[in-house]
Amino acid sequence: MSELSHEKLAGEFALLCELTEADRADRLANLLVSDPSLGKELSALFAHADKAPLLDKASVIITQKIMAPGEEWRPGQKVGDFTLGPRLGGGAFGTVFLAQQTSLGRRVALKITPNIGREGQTLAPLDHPHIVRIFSEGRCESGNRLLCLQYIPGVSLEQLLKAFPHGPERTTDLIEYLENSLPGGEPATLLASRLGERAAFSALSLCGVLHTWTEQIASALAYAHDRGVLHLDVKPGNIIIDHYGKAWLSDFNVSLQSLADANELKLNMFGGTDFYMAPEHREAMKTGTPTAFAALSSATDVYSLAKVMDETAEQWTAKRKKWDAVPCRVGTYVDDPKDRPTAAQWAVEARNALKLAEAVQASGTLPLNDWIERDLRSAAVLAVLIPQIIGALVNLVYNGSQIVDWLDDSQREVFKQLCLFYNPVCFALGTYFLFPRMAPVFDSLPRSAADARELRRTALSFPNRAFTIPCLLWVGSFVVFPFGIHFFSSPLPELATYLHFLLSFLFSALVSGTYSYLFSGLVIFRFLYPRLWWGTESISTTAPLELKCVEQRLRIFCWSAGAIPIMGAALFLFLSRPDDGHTLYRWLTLILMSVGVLGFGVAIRIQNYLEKFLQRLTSRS
Amino acid sequence: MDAQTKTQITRYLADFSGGNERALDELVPLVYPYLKQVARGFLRKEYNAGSLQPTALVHEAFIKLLGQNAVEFQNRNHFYALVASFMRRVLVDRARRHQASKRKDDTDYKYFLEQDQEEGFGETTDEFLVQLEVALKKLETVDPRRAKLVELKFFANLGNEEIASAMDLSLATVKRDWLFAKAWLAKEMAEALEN
Repeated sequence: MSELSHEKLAGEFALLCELTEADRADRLANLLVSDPSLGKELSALFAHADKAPLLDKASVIITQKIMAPGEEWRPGQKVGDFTLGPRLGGGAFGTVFLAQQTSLGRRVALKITPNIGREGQTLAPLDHPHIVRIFSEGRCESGNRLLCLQYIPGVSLEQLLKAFPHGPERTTDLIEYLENSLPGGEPATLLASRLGERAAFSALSLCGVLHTWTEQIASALAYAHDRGVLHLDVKPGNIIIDHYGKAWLSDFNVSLQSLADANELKLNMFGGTDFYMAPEHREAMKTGTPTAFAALSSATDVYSLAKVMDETAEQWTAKRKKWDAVPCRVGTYVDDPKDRPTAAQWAVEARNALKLAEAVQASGTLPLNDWIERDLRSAAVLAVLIPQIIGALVNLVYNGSQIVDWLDDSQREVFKQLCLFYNPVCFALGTYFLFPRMAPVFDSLPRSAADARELRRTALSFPNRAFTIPCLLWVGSFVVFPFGIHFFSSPLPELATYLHFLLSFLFSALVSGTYSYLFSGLVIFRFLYPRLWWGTESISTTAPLELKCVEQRLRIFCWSAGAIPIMGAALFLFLSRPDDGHTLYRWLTLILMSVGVLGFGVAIRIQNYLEKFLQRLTSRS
Repeated sequence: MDAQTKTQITRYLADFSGGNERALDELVPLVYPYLKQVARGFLRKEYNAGSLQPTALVHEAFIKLLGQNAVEFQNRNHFYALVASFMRRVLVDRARRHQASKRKDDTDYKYFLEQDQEEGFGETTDEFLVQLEVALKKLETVDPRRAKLVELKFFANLGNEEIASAMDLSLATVKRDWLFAKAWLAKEMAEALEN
């Protein structure tokens, strides 16, 4: 562009600047017609004029930078009311020291920053157990701002990530590191009142640790968001873990006090850490337009926290396969702000996930754990079918050897036919009534809270159905066999034979039903139920209601798993006829008693396992 | 500081005042260490109000270098021009140097206008300064007056009144020119980014 037209451009620009927005738009539209090249150039200039304040601001900041305030302060130095201790950290905007406040004789974290932004005012109204508190704000002689903050003995998550590149082996390693890495190498002072907190933290699994921190920081963010404050720089360096394992959100220097304050937006929008920045935040930084700034919301912080926790989880669990055991997310960062959960929702989710992680950890692992986790559907099917198949076989052998002896040839023939007919029918019917209804539970993850509730209801009904449906079919066989033989051939020899059939089927029904309940309960309660949560439903409040009767039922079934076979053996002792072969008689009694004892052993193991899991899940803490 | 260097500095200053911008090439490396030292010294002084004026900074640096009486500038405006060009050179050089030394692949935390612990700014600040320099160079070719204004405003951090008197313009013109120059630079930088 020639010099002349550049001057013309500048002149026209100055003219347009004086107009109101509407008039300017009109004139620009006219210019686009009368002098297209000038009009286009001017529109482009106005399109970028929004970003221009950045040039004002940048010059001030760059000048301030040269002062490098942090560089000037040294431990031991006196600054106003404070004596500086070791340097705790330095961000883009200042340096933080551990300091002794002389007048009050307390230890504080003193942040020395250039006098820009409103970190103090933003922080002052925030009073949350996971947000670093501010005590006071002042100026030092050089004009720098002194923020007197609560001192949190601990280290940043960033430092922890560096110290444990692949995650700590045990949580106690983490605690040990935290206690030994306090600033200035001072020993950790533990408050007796908080020892419980530390012990509870030490007992967490790694997964539990991450969920705990996520929950704590998410709740801190939710609290700040409620008060219109955006943090806008959530990153590992700004999350402090104290030596009790508690996470604190710090460093509000690029935060915004009010979303509505557009000037504030522009003034402060120089911060943020690229790697953890939400797309809309990056956009706002790049373009600097008011529209781009307006796109910032609480979801922006949620993205950053998700990114932080995701990074931590990935780094710490890359070499551990157990991670997937807990289905709730630690962090999922999605590009569209609308699709992100709110911080409050996420805090509940994290609490749920923690609950699950604790429950999983408390229950320990079973030999088939991995396989069950991988294929829940097959596991559930087998959990019901195996006891039923074994029950059917044992029943068949028993009936075939004990009852059929009393029948004549034609009756035996009918018995055989009925066996061939009724068993497949039973399994087909049972499968039909039991499994198709369950399919959605295995097929889909919940899409809404109502959906999740429905799926959980269906899932929880499964063990009950796995007991009742086969039992009904067994009762059916009491009708089908003796009366089938009666009808197709001739009446059974004595009333006792009918009773014998009844007892035999009833006994099989109870034994196989009991084991079906226990095995399927194991799959459902421990592996499936924890997956069926959505959104803000809190496990701690909902699970106790939903699982109210489960523990009691488990105990009953556990006892009956042992008691019924033993009772069967006892009955057998009474019911068997004196002319029964001694050998068979002894073997059957022995087998029944062994089944009783073994079954009781297995059942008690399952019950114990589930009880631990469920107790953790339903505890209100 | 030996006498020879002092003479050199004085000569470069005279050269610069005579309109030779190249003199800065020699001047900046000689003065830069003192500039940092002075900046630190400023902070310890109680009178300083917290914001460090580049003019005061550069002035102090020269006094420290050459002694009170040796520093002679033709007039205030010449001095302002020196400070602006000088700071521009210092900051842009620093940004470029820092950018060059930081070309590594790992995803470092990037702060816009981040203050690095030792030298230079965060990567994004460096980029910003370098982009600004490119755009400003371009503005110099089409509109030297407004480019000068930007230099005074941005790098010497002068107020509008000071600029008006230094450039012999009306206050209204300074404000108008600054608005236009800002928009022009912003557009130029954005377009450069897109390409």
